[in-house]
Order: sequence, then structure tokens, then C-alpha cells
Amino acid sequence: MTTKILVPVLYWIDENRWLLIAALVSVVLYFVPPPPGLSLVGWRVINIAAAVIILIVAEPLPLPAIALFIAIMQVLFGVGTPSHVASSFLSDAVLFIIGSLMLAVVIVHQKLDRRLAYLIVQITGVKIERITLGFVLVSAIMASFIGEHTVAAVMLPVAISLIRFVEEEQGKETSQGLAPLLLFAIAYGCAIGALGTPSGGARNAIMIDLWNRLYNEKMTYARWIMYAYPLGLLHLPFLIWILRRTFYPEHASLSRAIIRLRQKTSDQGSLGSQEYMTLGVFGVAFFLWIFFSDKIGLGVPALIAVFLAMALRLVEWKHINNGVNWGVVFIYASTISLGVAFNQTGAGGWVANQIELLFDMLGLHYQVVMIGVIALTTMLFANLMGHGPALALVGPVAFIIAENVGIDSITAGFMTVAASSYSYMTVIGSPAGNIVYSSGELKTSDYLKAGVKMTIVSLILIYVMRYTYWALLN
Amino acid sequence: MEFLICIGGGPPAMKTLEGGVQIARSFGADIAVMYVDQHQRMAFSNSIAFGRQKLSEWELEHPGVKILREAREHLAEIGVIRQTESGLAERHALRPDVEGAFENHFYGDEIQHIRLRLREGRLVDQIRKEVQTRQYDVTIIGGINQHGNTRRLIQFVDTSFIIIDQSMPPIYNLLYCSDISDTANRALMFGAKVAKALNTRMDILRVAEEETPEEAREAVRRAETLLRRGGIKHEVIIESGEVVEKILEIADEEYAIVIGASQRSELMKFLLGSNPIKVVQRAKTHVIVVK
Repeated sequence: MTTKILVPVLYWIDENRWLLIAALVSVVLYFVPPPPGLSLVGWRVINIAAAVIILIVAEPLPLPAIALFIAIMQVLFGVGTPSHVASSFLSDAVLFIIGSLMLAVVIVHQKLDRRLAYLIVQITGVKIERITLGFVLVSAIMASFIGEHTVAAVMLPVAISLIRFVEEEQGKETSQGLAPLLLFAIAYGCAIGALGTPSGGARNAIMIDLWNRLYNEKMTYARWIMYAYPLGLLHLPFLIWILRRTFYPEHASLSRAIIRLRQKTSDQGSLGSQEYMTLGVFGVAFFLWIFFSDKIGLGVPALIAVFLAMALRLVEWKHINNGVNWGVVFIYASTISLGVAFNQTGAGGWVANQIELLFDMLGLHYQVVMIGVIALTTMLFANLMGHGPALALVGPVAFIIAENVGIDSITAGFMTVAASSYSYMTVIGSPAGNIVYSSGELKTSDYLKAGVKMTIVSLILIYVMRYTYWALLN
Repeated sequence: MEFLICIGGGPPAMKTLEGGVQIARSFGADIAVMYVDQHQRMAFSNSIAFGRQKLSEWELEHPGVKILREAREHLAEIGVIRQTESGLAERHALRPDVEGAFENHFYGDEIQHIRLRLREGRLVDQIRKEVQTRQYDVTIIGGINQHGNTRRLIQFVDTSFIIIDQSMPPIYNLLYCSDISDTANRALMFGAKVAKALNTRMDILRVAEEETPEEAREAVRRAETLLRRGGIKHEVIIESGEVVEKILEIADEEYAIVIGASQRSELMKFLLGSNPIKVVQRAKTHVIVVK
């Protein structure tokens, strides 16, 4: 073969090596007979899941292609009929994901970011600790109600403006500690806040969907807040402390930068009619979530809000169409579908049994150990795949392991969804983490520096909640 | 001629830039300075677009544009971009989609055309597309920590490479490795041109694996003659042993290494690598790989 042909072929192989590895894994597993205790169809689901994990982590294909792969393989492997597979793609969780991504476009379309910046600089003063607290609080509170990608996008220019002002006043070197401090305040603030309410993120909707499908358990908006919000609040002092101990800005006072930010954001005037209407539309969704989510779910309120936003001309369809990453919707829908198949075919139970057998052999099959196993495994998958797909795949297995060591489904669900939120250690673990990284101000090693400490804290707090507050609520 | 200089961010990028400019000047070549923004993950591309939209509403630069601005300021400071009464001699401001990249184009004197280019995506993929689009003669990159990327670039990007070690001073004495590959002749010509332009010496290294010292000496006679005629100071170093180890040992931090790209079959290079790639991956100095 001539070089002209061979080089592009080898380059394609090199670029798509993970696609080829996924295909190879799939082919090998196809010809290996199912292990004892697992049906052939369950084995096929594990086959698909193995390939999908490789594809999502390495991203050799666009996300929608991976979603299509899940649908195609489920039908070809006989996991379900075409109609059955298609129907497993759509659920309230998926409607919620569509609605919240659309709502994000509506909110980003308005100029709320400057008002937020003004609010932060008004309430926090000029000390670095208080500014960090301000960033964490605002990010966490907002992320508990709207998607973290919206919050991170809106907060990013506020942080970058402060960093630039400090650079201009005091030189570039001074921003070396400040940039990670403020940007992780946003990303980690989002991570701890997003668990607060069901509308904080797609993973929350996925968990509600899992409870509903697996245990016929209805979770209301208010009940969720009662369980989850305290965990976010508990994280706050630890997060501030860890960030301050990990990143050291040269100057503890940002007075001049804050004055410039105040000047830049002070001429906002009062809220305009568009902004009032945007708040009103979001208020409608919030009202419906709180009072009617047990009847109409989480997705429909979000869709009603989007419908109103379009009816009131707050946003045009072309903006929504361009702003929503339909690939994300597809991948969430498909991993939820795969999670359902995991459960229905017994694959989830088999994986859970294997893990339990291993810990039995090690003499470690105790509740206290298995909580750690569930939390750390979920965190690991979330760091590698992003929290939504990780939860959809790990969730059904985690429920079975938890049930077998005497943990009720609600507590098991909150432990797992919380762990999936705490993907601090990688750039790709969460949208907020990726957005702040896209500013070019962070190194991937920064995520490990702060992320390892935060992971330990979150793990301990999950244990604390399990044996105190959640035990009391049950 | 046109050289592509790939930079990352921060002070090391300026070292790469200075090293690249030094060599481009010696060849009278135009330069394109390119930054590849690798910060995107497909899953979050829309969210990142939101963030970028907000940054631009606040009149904050795209991070890649910031790096290009720093490069522009540095190039103006060291006299590469021409200063006019009205500012820098700019052909066109930053604009999107100029042959697949954002581009800001300036004029200079010794180097006539200076393009600042920004691409988004995977590093190797974007450098490969850039080289395919604009047909550069040489690609200059800073030391890349990821060995896989170094291998991919050298194998799949169709230009000669200069890999700048950012911890070292600019190109100093050259060490021409005569026996590393069949492209050694091209490496000799290229190295000689660099040595002549920079007024440095270029010593000739021959590692005799299966030759006697006399045969090795004979094998480098043509190279010696060429350097002598070109007035380039040189010495011949004959060594025996394993080629890569000897090159690294002799070069250490004293020389910039000049080697020809491997002429092994593409498949063998893909599966087993090659000596030039091993040298690049392990060298503690600048390396010039000539194709």
C-alpha cells in the first residue's frame, strides 16, 4: 500500500483507537457465553454498557452517535422490541432535561449576569475570603434551582473581570492563585448546590425517575429539598476552607478591582419588563415544581415555562434551537434507557452480586463499607463520564447493593445522586467544571489539587448524613 | 517559505515563539503563529458557547484571543511586526474562518507576513489540518509533555519539525546525526543552513553500530566537505553503541540535535515507533526532525 493511502488510514486508526477498542470489547463479549446466573439478554446489556462507557469517556464519536448506538444495539441484541426501546428513551426525566436546557437559553438570553455581579460586590466587600464566600453562595443557591451550566456561564464573566482587573492593577503573577480560587468557587459551588432541589440538575430528575420505575416511590419537590438541601449547606464551610488552603492569591484585598467591577456593573437601572417576565416565567415553573410535581412531574413545569417564554417573545425558537445541545438530550435519554434495560434484564442485579461476592470474600460485606463502595464508584464514574450518564448506569446497581445491606431506597438514592454530583477531580466531570476550564485560566492538575480534598469531605458528609439526618427522617 | 509556530499559553509560549522567529528569520520565511484551543468537550460545547457569549458581552477576550494578543505584543516588542505611525502594520484584524481558523494578519520587515491563527479542537488533528491547508515547510512546537502527541505529530503531520525545549537557551551548537535515517542528507542541508544563518557550529555524529571506525569516518566525508565549503565550524564524533542512547548522551544539554525522519515503513513506525521519535521524546534539548 502506498504511503499516500496508508498514512490517512493509520491516522484514522490512531484517532479512532477508542472506537476500535470499544468495538473489539463488544465483539469479544458477544462470543463469550453469559456467566452463570445471568441471562443472555442481560449479558448483551452488559456488553452494550461496556462499549458505551468506553465511548463516553474517550469521546471518539459525537454524543448523538453514541446515543444512536445504544438504541441500535438494544434492538439488534434483542434487549427489547423497537417500540419498547423507543418508549424507554422518553421519560419525565428526559422532558425535564429538555425543558431545563431550554430555560437555560431563556435565562442566558437576558442580562442577569451584570445584576448578579453587582449583587456580589455589594454584599461581599473587598476581602478575598468574603468574595470567595459570595461566589460560592451565589453559585450554589442559583445552581440549586436552575441548571449548573447556566449558572457557570453567567458567573464566569464576573470572575474573569475581577481577575483581569487585578492583573491590570498588580501584574499577571498576582492572578495565579486568584483565578483558581474564584473559578473553583463557581464550579464547586454549583456541584454542592445542584443537589439542593430536583430542578438543580438532570441527575436529580434521573434519580426521581429511578425511584418511580424501580420502587413506585413518588418524590415531591419539597420532600427532596428537606433531604438534600442540608447536605449542600454542610459542605459550605469546608469548601471555603479547602479553596483558601489550596490556592493562595498574593493579595488578600481586592479593593481596587472591586471598585472597578462596581463601576462596570452599577449602571443597570431598574429591572426591565423583559427581565420581570423572565423572572415571572421561572416563578411559574418553580411554583408548579413545588406544588404539583407529584402530579405533573418535573418536566412539564419546565416545558410550560419555556412555552410561556416563547409566547411572551422572551426568546425565539432559533435561539433555543441553537442554544440547546441536542446531543446531551440524546445521551441522557439513551443512558436512562440503558439503565432501565440494566434493571429489567437482571444485568444490574448480577453486577451487584459480583461486587457483593468480592466483598464477602474479603470479609468486608458490611453496610459501612458498601456505602463507601457505592459513593466512591459513583464518584469515579461521574468524574469520567459526567454525572447524568454515570448515575443512569450506576444507579440501578447501587440500589441493589444498598438494599442487601439494609439501606432503604430513599437513602440509597440520595447517597448515589449526591455522589454523582461530586465529580470534582476532572475537567469533564461536570458542565460547570468544563465551563470554568474553558476560560483558559486553569490547569487540569488544579482539579486534582482541590478535588481530592473535596472528594474526601463529601464522602465523610455522605456518611454523616446517612447515620444522622437521613436516619432521623426515615 | 512559511513556518508554522504552535504555541500554548504563558511564558513558555514566548520561548517557543522566540526560537521559531530566530529560525524563520534565518530562512527568510514567513510565519504563522497558531494556538489550538483544546478546552472543549463535545458534551458541553453549547454550555461553553454560553460562557464565551457572556465573556464577549462583557468585552472579555476569548482565552485563545488573549494568547494571540500576548504573542502579537511580544512580536511587536522584538521588532518582528512592523511599527507604523498609526500603530502596528496590520493587513487585517482578527476575523473568523480564514482557511479554517480565526486569523489576524500583520506585516513585518525581515519576516514579511505574520499570521496569528486560532483553531479549536484536538491538538494533533488541528495541526494536521492547518498543515494540509496551508502547506507549511516547517512546524515549530514547544516541548510537548504528552509523548503520544509527539509521536502522532511527527508521524502524521507532513512537515519537518523543530521541537523547542523551553527550558533551554535559543538554538546554539548543532549536532547532526548522520546515521539515523535515510533522510539524513536533507537533515544535513537543513542543519547547515541553520548553522550558517545563526553562525553556530555543527558537529557531525556517526554512531557505528556495525561499522569499523574507518568506515564510519568515510561515511561522513561528504557531510564534512559540505560544511567545510560552507565555512561552518565542525568536528566529527565517531561513537559506537546503541544509536538513540549515544545521541542523547553526546547531545545532552550541549547541542541542539538535527536528525532526519525515519524512512521505516509507516506501518512499522505506527506499531514500533522510530529512532527520531525516541530521540524527541527523551531529549533534554531542542531537536530538529527533517523530512
